[in-house]
Amino acid sequence: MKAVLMTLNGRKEVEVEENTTLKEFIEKTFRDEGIEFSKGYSVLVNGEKVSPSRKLKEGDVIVFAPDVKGA
Amino acid sequence: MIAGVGGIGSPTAFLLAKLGCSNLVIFDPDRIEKHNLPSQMFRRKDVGKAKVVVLSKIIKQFTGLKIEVYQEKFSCKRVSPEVLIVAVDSMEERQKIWDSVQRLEKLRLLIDARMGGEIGRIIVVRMDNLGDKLRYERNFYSDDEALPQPCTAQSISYNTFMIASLICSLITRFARREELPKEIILDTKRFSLIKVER
Repeated sequence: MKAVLMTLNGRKEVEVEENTTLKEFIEKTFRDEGIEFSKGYSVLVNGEKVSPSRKLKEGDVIVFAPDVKGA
Repeated sequence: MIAGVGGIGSPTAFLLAKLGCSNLVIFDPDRIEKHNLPSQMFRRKDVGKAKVVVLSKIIKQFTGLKIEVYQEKFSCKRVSPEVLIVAVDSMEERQKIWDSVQRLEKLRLLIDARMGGEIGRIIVVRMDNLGDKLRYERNFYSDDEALPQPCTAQSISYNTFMIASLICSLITRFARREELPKEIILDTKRFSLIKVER
């Protein structure tokens, strides 16, 4: 199935295997995208923070958002 | 109304005044320090003075507008805004503001702007929308959980002005009753911008 991945490297359609959890997807994407930090990111699915065990669905939009705090 | 007039808040106030917002109110307890000068709307001669006082003078000079200032942390006891821009520099302070604005009946829009280095996040909360409010609450993380940034990358002028410009664009759209995104994430290093839609 297909989902949309949006990171600060850009937007792309990705192929996701059935029954892939968000956690599994995150781990793979961190490796593929070369994101350096293991902490400091929120992952939003369709604009919402969801449980890491949530299984991804066709058409989900997954956004990797850096958790910044300054102003 | 703007809570915090540092890197993001000071150019935001300036640009909103330039757009003709005549009822601006700003809160900030801090005085200007040397390290604020590269990324905030202040001049060398302003060091040591209250940020809100200096900013109000600069805005008056540039636009003729007189704005209301409070040299203190944001407090609901003083005011009852329709639109609140949160531009404070810690998650702890954001949480306190969020806790306190729950009882503000007039508040219609809250915009929370965050930055680190060349990255910015602008979160939009329509206060009459329960989904927005729940989503915002899930977007709190502790200061320790935030993305590690070198102290030299806390605040960069072109990023603060970019974020301020986007906030002004959101306010303009809100005033026109146009649809707003849930969130905007930007990275000026990579020239990339993510708009999280509804």
